[in-house]
Amino acid sequence: MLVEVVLEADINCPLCSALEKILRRVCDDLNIPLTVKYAAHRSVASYEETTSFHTFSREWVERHGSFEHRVALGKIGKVLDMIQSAGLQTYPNLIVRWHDGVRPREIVIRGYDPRGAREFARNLATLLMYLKRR
Amino acid sequence: MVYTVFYYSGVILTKAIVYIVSKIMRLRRFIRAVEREEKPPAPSYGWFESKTPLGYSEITWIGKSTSLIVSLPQPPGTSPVVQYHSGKSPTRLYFTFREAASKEWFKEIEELAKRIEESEKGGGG
Repeated sequence: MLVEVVLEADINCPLCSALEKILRRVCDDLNIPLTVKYAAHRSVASYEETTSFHTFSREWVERHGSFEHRVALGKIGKVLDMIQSAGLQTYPNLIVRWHDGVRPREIVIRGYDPRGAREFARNLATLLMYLKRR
Repeated sequence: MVYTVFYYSGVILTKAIVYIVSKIMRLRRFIRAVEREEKPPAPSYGWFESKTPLGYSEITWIGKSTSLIVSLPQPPGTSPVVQYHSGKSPTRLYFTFREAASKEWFKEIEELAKRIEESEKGGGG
């Protein structure tokens, strides 16, 4: 199966570079293409439809969120609207993309914490290995 | 007299041991020469697959003797990279880093995928 890993990063983000090192190692071992998009506000990529911020929207929570998320929506709804209108972007965003024959499918992971790096690398390698052999 | 006999016998023994060990090490160090694979030179003219800054893939023709460069948008379904603009929009699952680093991540993926499938069936698309 065709698998691709994309990292949406910022140039001035130390967490992005730390995550990139892990991804390079995992993807090189499994022979999976990795592309790093520096999606700064001045670049062309900032005008693309980004996958980064859809979780912080009312629509996403109402459609795919759990019961707890919907209960919390009454309090944080205004904040979500403000974030959507301001067009803020979070980094790093990791996108694992594959095609199952019908349509492309994606898993988006937002953020990075060096404390859970080992567990994350293990999980990601397992996922990519499974997708590649599928 | 006795000491010199012991001394010289010790010297001979150590020399013998060192000689044997060095022989064994040399045998082990023997490495076979690997033949190099000669790669063909990279093409300087012809059809090339390239990418626009927006992420769409293109096929570009670069001439041999002329300075003609023509780029065509790639027909969908031929590129190994899945394109955004071709066909149906991708279905996405969103996770935070903590979720991805936890042990129950794969269960969450299955649950969320099921929920999205149900909502797609309910929405008719």
